[in-house]
Amino acid sequence: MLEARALDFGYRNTPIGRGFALTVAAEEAVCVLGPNGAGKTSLFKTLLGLLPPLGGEVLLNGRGLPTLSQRDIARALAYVPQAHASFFPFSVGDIVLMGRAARVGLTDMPAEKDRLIAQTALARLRIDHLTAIPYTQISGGERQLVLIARALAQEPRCLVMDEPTANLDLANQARVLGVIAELAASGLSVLFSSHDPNHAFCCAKRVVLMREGAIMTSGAPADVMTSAALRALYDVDVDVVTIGAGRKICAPALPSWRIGDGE
Amino acid sequence: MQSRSTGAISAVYFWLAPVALVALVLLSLMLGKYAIAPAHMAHAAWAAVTGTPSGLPLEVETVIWQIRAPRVLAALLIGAALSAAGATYQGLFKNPLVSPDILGVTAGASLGAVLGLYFSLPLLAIQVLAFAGGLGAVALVYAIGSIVRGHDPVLALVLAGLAIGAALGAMVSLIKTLADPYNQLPAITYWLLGSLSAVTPGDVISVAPAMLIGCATLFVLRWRMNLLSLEDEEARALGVNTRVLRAVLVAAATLMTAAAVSISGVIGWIGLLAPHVARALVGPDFARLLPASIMLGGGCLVGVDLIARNAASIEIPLGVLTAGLGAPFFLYLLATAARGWR
Repeated sequence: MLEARALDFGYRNTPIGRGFALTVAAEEAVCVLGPNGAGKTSLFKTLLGLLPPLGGEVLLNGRGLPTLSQRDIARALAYVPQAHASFFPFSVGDIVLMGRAARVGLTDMPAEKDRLIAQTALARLRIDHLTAIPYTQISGGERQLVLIARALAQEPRCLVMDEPTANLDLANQARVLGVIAELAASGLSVLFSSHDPNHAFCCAKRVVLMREGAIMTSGAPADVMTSAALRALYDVDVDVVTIGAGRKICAPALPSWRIGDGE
Repeated sequence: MQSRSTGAISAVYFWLAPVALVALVLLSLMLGKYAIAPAHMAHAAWAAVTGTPSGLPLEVETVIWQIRAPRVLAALLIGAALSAAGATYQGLFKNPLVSPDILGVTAGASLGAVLGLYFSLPLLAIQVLAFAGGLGAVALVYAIGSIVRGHDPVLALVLAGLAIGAALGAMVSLIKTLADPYNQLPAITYWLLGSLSAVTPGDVISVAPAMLIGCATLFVLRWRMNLLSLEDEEARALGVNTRVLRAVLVAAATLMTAAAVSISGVIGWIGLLAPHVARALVGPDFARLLPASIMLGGGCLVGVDLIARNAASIEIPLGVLTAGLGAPFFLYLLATAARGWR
């Protein structure tokens, strides 16, 4: 379980959020939505212990982050960054093995057990055929899955994913969202951000609408993601419609389409 | 398919590299103004391995063990040290085109040695000054890089290294203009171009501990080192104390480089090219890259020194050769080796 209590976050000279409260329980995927500059990334970095909080506290499984070492944190909380280029052509297997860093002795090489866990993580995401391929030679969607596999190799109880669907095509977005739903169902606490509100409808149990470092509203996506709420969040008219079986989708309502309608 | 062929190739290198290195060392011991016959060399090597008297003429024994062996051993150690340090810095700075002097170790060592030469100090004092100058420069760069907040810590280090290196270079230039142009200036110029001609067995013994400590540290951290080639925040999220690990690795690499430079003078290019080529051969995993870099760097400098001793009637400064051979080779890599470049 990951919890923020009265959290003030941001940078010393430019505070971003004040009094932020958030709980991500086990078996729960929580999606953070917000416009660019809402403070999502700074919030995530603070929750991960990478950015010191300006006030308040972050609790990981009930224990305050300052009482834990970076190594302790990494055993319970994993971070999935946006898929990026690697500087060196490490094999996919080597990259996932790096997820074992917090569980391998400081001066040790990873053991056979660690390789097995890395391999299992790759298999769980159905990308074990990539093990020997250099990370620099796979597609962006595959890289994102590799980084998720690396996070799973940490054997964490909480996952924080910063825009895991950014720069992915539709099929890969669906793949990653499916993985998020699956991981939450398997018992993990998953916190992720996205620029597409539909992703919250897809796989989040709860959604947090965040603007200027503060929570506007939060709750089940179907309840809180109304046309009015999304209008207030993004400053653009959004149509939210229900399609079959109570499933909702949304899209921005552009003025030009209305002109088209009138003719 | 891909992995199988890569595996087969690295298995070949795994056995080929040490054999080639030993052959190169033996060749280096044989060739020179006083050439040693292959049969004599074989006798001498066998005698040394088994610890029995070789029965060879005294001058053959003297040339091999007193004159050439310390120099070849020094070349091996210095090349290996520069290359291992280069591999470490390239990983730390996430850049395959970084050389061991990026944090000012060479500039600091140069200033130390040049000061020693300017004040006409004995050789040992010059070496100590060079060693201390190298360590001091990097300590200064590291201190400045740590004070600067609000930047990527790695970028702060590189920029601090750039600035301190330039300032130290200016001081070296100033001393060169002040130095006596007939006695001191040639000695300074010669030192700045690197040479192994004055290396004694004592020199090798005095720098070996520093090199071995540095190398042992890198070896022990050979897997964890990989994590530092990720973004700093990513590595921290994986549970790595990047600040401590980076400091330890920089200290180890600096110790090795300063020790090397203190007895050989400035030898450029090897620390950049050898690990670069090693990475193209065995991949970026530091557990394999470190031994490959050590063998390649050591072999490289033994080979270059062999050329320096034999190619012309006078000895060619090593810095001239490493740059003269390294630069075209580098351009060749630039033009052909798209794979493994990043």
